[in-house]
Amino acid sequence: MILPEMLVEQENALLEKTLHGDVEAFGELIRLYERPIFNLCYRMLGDGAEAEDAAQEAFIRAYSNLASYDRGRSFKTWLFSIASNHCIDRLRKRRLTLLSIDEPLPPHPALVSDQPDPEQQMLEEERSALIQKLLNQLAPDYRVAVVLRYWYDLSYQEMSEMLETTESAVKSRLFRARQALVELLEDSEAQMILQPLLAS
Amino acid sequence: MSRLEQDPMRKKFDHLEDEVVHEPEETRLQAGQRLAAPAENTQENSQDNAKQASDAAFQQVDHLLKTAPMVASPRGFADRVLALIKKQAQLYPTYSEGTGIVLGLTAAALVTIPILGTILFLTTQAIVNQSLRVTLIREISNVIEVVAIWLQSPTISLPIALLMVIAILPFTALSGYLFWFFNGLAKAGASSEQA
Repeated sequence: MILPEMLVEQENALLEKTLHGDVEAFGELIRLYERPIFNLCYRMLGDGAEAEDAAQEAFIRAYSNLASYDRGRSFKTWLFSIASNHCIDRLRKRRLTLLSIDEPLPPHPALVSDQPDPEQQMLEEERSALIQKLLNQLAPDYRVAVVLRYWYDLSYQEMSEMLETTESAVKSRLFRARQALVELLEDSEAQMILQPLLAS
Repeated sequence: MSRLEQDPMRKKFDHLEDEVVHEPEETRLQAGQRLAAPAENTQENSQDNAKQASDAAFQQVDHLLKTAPMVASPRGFADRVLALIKKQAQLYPTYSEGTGIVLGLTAAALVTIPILGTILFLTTQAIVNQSLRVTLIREISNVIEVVAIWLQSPTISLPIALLMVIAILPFTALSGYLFWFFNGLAKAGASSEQA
């Protein structure tokens, strides 16, 4: 995950201002990262309201601990690390309430609003619901590995730094997560939803 | 006709092979059906098929996840978070406020430490040295007596009172600032809890 040089410069300037007490500069950083952080929380927690709460908490924690942030590291990785660890904590507290595949979660409104074609919109809704159902059935450590890899294309090294583990552990978690997803997809109902999606 | 089929050795070999074929197998051959594969081949084939199926399933998962959309944050999310952070920021002094507090407390310490130090030194000496203790008590009583005389005379007591007020002003200002700061802190804390 390499950020364009201009973005890094802009990010550094905003961080500098924030450290000198300019809260508005941190507001700009929030606007820069609100979507990826919210998506991460939503994919991890599977619930819009809880994701909003978790993303908010992640930004507040980042602001409170900004003085301890190591400028040698990427700010994005650091922020993602805070958000993912917070989501894992929330999931552990929730004691892995598994959602049934028979009770699909309503898709997030942001996923369904900008599709002009109703058929395409329906397919997108189904795809999103299916992905979320599958993710919800994974253990938090596996889930975070899948989300970080597929949505943000992070390297194994970045993921291992963020999750405070080794690269081989990340690889093995990712492999097991994919294996679990394959097994879950073999479910006939999942296949019924998946086939038209793949064909489209 | 291919060159291989015309080879006499090949013809002989084919003939020998035909003789090995048992009757039920020959019937199946005539009917155009495939012969049963040896056990190890069947196992290998099923492993290959399983691997292919597994690869396909993995690809299916990869495709599904790679094409998954990124969810947009709710409208006004950044503003809400920023408002909360601003509220929390009021709980802690900013850099400039912090500097003010540190300077104020240092000034107070610089004034207070010599006074307290002198008092402590004199008290220690008085406890150790009996003659000094007597002298000190006598001097204190003399000071009290002088102050009492001054208080009886307004021409002396008024300027002294004025000087004392001037000396007390910085301490009062510092105490007022500290009171205002901690009072604000408590209010910000209460409003944050309510929020």
